[in-house]
Amino acid sequence: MAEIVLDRIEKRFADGTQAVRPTDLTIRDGELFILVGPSGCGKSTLLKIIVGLERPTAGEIRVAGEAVTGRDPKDRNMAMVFQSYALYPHMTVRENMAFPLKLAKLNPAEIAARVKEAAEILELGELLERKPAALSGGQRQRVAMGRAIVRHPAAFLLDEPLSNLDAKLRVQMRTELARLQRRLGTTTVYVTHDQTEAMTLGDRIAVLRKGEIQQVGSPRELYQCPANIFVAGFIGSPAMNFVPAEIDGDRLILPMTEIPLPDALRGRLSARTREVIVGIRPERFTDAARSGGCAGVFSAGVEVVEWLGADLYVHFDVRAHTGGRLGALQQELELDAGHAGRLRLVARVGTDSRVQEGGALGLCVDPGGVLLFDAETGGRLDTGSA
Amino acid sequence: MKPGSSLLDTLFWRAGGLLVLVYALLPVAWILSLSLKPAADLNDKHFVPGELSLEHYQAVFVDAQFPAAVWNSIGIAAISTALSVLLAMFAAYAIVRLRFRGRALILGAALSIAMFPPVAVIGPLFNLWRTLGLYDTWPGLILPYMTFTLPLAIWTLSAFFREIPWDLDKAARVDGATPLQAFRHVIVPLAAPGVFTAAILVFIFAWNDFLFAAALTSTNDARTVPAAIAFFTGSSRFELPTGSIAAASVVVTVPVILVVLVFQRRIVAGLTAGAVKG
Repeated sequence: MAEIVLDRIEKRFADGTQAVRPTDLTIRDGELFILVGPSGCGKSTLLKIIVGLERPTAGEIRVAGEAVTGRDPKDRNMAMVFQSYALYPHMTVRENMAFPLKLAKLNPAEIAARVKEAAEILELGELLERKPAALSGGQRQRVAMGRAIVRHPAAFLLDEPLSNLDAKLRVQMRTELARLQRRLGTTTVYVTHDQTEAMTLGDRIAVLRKGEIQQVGSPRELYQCPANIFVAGFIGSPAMNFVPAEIDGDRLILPMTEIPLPDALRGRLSARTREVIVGIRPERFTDAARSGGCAGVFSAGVEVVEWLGADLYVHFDVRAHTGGRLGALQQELELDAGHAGRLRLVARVGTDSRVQEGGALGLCVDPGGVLLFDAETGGRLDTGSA
Repeated sequence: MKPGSSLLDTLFWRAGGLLVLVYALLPVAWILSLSLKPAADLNDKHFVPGELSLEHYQAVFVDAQFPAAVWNSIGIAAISTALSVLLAMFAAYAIVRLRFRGRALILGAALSIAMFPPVAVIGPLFNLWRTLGLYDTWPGLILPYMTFTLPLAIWTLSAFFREIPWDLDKAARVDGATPLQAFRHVIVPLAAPGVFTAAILVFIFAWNDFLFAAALTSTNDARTVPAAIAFFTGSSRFELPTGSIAAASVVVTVPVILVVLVFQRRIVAGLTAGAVKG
């Protein structure tokens, strides 16, 4: 049980690449903290620095107020679950779970009791005498968890623990992990590249990009008030739509329509800000036929319709300039950016909408639901809630 | 593939395997046959002995030099194997896991030692050993055996270590193991097939070596079996000790076969299965 504090942590590899830029981060006692970001953003490196498998180039790590920066991993009392599970293949499930306790020189009775307790929590009772090779993916995952919890560690560190499971099992294990963490109340740092996992699991989330923390906040904060265009595009599925726009007085001119600038924004934008990037979540579009008197009605040429039962996603193209900052961002986020001169957008509409592929659909934009980003820096221009 | 051709395939491989086996084992069988023939029948030109006799076996063990040589052989080969494999384990682990300057150089240098013709060092080694007092002693043979088997052992073991997922070392370290504990409890058990493979190779080299043993020993103190056999004499100077040589050869082959059989059971492929992923 411990609070983990990263104080100006920095990591530069021998070849000069900066894996982690100076980072301050406080992981509160007992919380489930998520590090999320695209591959190569430094999230795993940060985790290895916390557990001690990597030494930071600069900065200090404190666990429960105690500096542990130079301490060997074995002396940090942290348990880690690896993406590959890293079970010892020559040991049975029981021996795997007892291994850290044997190293800690606990007496055999205590070891047996702790392994039994962990096996009960994780429902591993019948598998104790098996070797890892005879287990399924989900069972291996549970054994890896078991090996972590028997130690009653100060913190759990999970490095993409679910990414080797199939989709259905992943959802199931996700719930189990969250329940287990709440039950044990142990500080947990969870690394993932999957924003859905981050949003559903985390108390708080840190979004990383290129070794730098973009924003730290609760899932709701990240979704509703992203600090910049990267967080906005990374969090949420389907991803937020981005379109270039111009501010003309109190009007916002989008490629497909124009809407009044939200009142909250008018005073705040400096006079010279004219070109902006507008972010619109798919649910901020509405079917014009279903809602009377909405702003910025335009007709969208429907390309693809995805019907998911409760939701209906409409994909449509908009003619717009796609280069510059917007194009670079979309490449980085691996979004379907559309082809030159056209932007591909997604709208979520009610399932009662009568929409057909190849047809046209009248859509309008909720002016209060758009986010404005600086066209150069990608930072948020408005700070009001979306 | 058609069923007919697969049958032909099987036949081809079976027959081929049998041919190789007969070719390789024929001399061994011949020596076995010679060792069991009475002295008078040695030149009777029959493959199967007409009459079985153990007189040659009795003869080799009555002579004091053979039991001494067997003892020397066992001791020297076992110590060489143990030391060589132990050193090679540490060296291979360092080469595979640690990033340090000259890794490639060490592997290359090790390989070049293995390419060096042993006969080229015999002369200088003879003089050196006499000066250092290592001539005709166990260490005098153990040292060259280790030198010439270490490269092979390091190469074999580093191939096995490379197969062990690095996550396992890290997991052990996080689980509270010192680097040495992680090595002993996790890496070595998983590399066991490699350790045994290396051990067999080193043991056979040390056990069968004639060159060093003949040149660097002179008495029963350190002379090993291959050298001792060369010093066998017949009962008179007009008689070749063929029967005794055959019997001695059979006797010294038995430990090697035993070692291989015992270790071979440990060489279970796929021991690392289930460590990582599905």
